[in-house]
Amino acid sequence: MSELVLSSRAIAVGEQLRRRAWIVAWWAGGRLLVLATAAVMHFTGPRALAGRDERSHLLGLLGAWDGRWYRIVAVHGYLLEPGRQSDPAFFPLYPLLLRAGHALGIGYLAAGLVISNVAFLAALAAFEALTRELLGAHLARRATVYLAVFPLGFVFSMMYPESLVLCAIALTALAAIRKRWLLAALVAAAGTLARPEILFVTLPLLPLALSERGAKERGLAFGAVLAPVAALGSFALYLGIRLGDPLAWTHAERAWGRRFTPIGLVTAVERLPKAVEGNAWVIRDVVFFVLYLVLLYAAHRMGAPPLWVLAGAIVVVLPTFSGSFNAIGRFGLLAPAVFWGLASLGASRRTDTIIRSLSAVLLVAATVHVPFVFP
Amino acid sequence: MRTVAIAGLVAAATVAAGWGLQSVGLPQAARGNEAAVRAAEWLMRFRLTSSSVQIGGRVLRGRCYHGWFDARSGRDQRGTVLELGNGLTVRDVRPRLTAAALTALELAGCTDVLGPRVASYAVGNTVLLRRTRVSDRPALAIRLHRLTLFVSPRTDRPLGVQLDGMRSTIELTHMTPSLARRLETGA
Repeated sequence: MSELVLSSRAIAVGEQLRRRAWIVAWWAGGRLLVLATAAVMHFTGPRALAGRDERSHLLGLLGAWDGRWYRIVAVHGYLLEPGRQSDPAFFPLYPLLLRAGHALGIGYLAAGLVISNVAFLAALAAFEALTRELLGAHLARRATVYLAVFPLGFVFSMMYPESLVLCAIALTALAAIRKRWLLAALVAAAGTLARPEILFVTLPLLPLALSERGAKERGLAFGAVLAPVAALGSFALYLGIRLGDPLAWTHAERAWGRRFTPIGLVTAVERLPKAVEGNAWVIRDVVFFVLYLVLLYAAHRMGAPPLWVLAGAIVVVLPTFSGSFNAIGRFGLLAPAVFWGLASLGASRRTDTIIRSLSAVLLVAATVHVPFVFP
Repeated sequence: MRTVAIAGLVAAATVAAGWGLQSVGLPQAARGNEAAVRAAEWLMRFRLTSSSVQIGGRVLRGRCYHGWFDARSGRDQRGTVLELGNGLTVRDVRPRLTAAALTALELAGCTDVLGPRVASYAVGNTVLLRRTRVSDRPALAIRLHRLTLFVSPRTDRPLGVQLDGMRSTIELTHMTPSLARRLETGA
C-alpha cells in the first residue's frame, strides 16, 4: 500500500517537473547568454578596467562590482571604516553562503556563481508558482520568461544576493498563501539577511495574517510578518557587538553618498546633472526607474493585487530618498509586480516576440557593459 | 494576548537564530586590520605631523601639513607640504607625485597621504601585527606590504613609520588657526 502511495507521489512530482521543464529551458537560455558573454569579455574586454581577481578567472567579470565586497566579508569579516566605503553596507547571508561553498573546497568566485545561478532557477520556479496563484497560468508563463531574460538580469548570475532575495520573496509569499507561517517566517528572515527589500514584501502578507482566525495561527502569521524586522535586528545586534555600532550598515552606506532624508528624491533629481557628469551610466538607472514606474502602473491597470504594486513602488522609489538614482535598475529586479506589468503588455503574440527578442539582445549588451562601469 | 506572545516568540527566535548564525558563520576581522583602521582614523583626524628620521647618524626633522596653498599659478591648490629641517620642501599636489616624494611623505607620517593608504590596505588584506618598541616604549608594528606603521598598543595612535630601511618617529599635532595661516602662506 505504502509503495503504491510513494510511486503515485513520485509520478505526480515527475509530472509537475515535466510541466515546469520550460522554466529550466528559459533559465538555461538566459544564463547561457550571460555566461557566454562574460567568457567572451574575458578574452576581448578591456583589461585596464578590471581588477586582477576579475581577470584571473574565465567568468571573473561576474565577480566584479559589489561581488568584491561580499568576498571581502566572507574572507575577512566586517570592518567599519568611518567616512570611507566599507563592508558593513553588505548584508551577511550571501557571505555566509560563500564561506559554506568555500568550505566544500571551491573558490569564492565559483561558489558565488553556483549559488547565484542555482538560486535564480529556484527564484524563477517560485515566482512562476506565485504568479500562477495570484494572476493565472498564462500571465505567469509570460512574466517568468521575461524575468529569465530581463536586460538587467545579468545581476542574477553575478556574485550578488539578488537571485536569493527574489527566491525568498516568492517563497515567503507562497508559504503565506498556503498558511505555512513558520516556513514563511524562516524564508523571510533569511531573505532579509541577504537584502532588506524583503521587508516591504510583508505588506501584501498583512491581509493574509489578519484573516487568520485562531490565536495560534494569527500569532504565527504576525510572527512571519515581523520576521524580516527581527532579522534586521539580528544584523544590528551582530554589528553592535562586533563593531560597536548597531547601525554600521547605514553609516557605511553614507560613504557611497546614500543618506535617507524626507526630501531625498528632490535631492536625487537636483544632483542628477552632476551625477551624470561623474558617471554617465546613472542614466541607465534613471531610464529603468521610469520604466519600472510605468510597468507598475501597467500591473495596477491589469488588476495585480494593489499591495503587491505598492510594495513594488516602495522597492523602486524608496532608494531615491537616499539622494541618488544609483543602482535603482538593480533594486527594481526585486519587485515581482514589475514583471507582472511587463507581462500584461506582452499579451499579443507580436508584442510578446518583441519583448523576448529585445530583452535577450539587451541582456547581452548589459553583460558587455559590466567591465566598462565602476559602480 | 496569546497572539502577541506567539508573534513575539517567533520574532525573538528570529533575532537569536540570526545573531547566532552570523556569530558562528562569519569570521572576525583580524586584530591587525582593526588596529590599522583605528590608526587610519587617527591620521585622518589631524592635518599636521612632526617627524624625525635618522639618516646616516644624523636626525632630520620634518613638519608635514595638509591643506590649501598658494600655487605658482597664483591660484589656491589643495595638497600636502613637507618641510624638512635641512631646508628642503616636498609638495604633494596631485596627480603629479614621484616615488621618492611619496616615500618622504609617508615616512614623515603626512596624514592625508599615509591615512588613506593605511585605510585602503586594511580592507581586503590580512594585516599582520607584532609587538615591538619605539623610542623605548612598547608599541605595535602594523605591517602594510613594504611599509610598517608603529602604533600605541593601548590607543592605536601612530608613533612612527618604517619604510625602505629607514625609520621615523611621528607626532600628530593639533593645528591652530595662526599656524595654519602661516603654513598656507609659506611664511
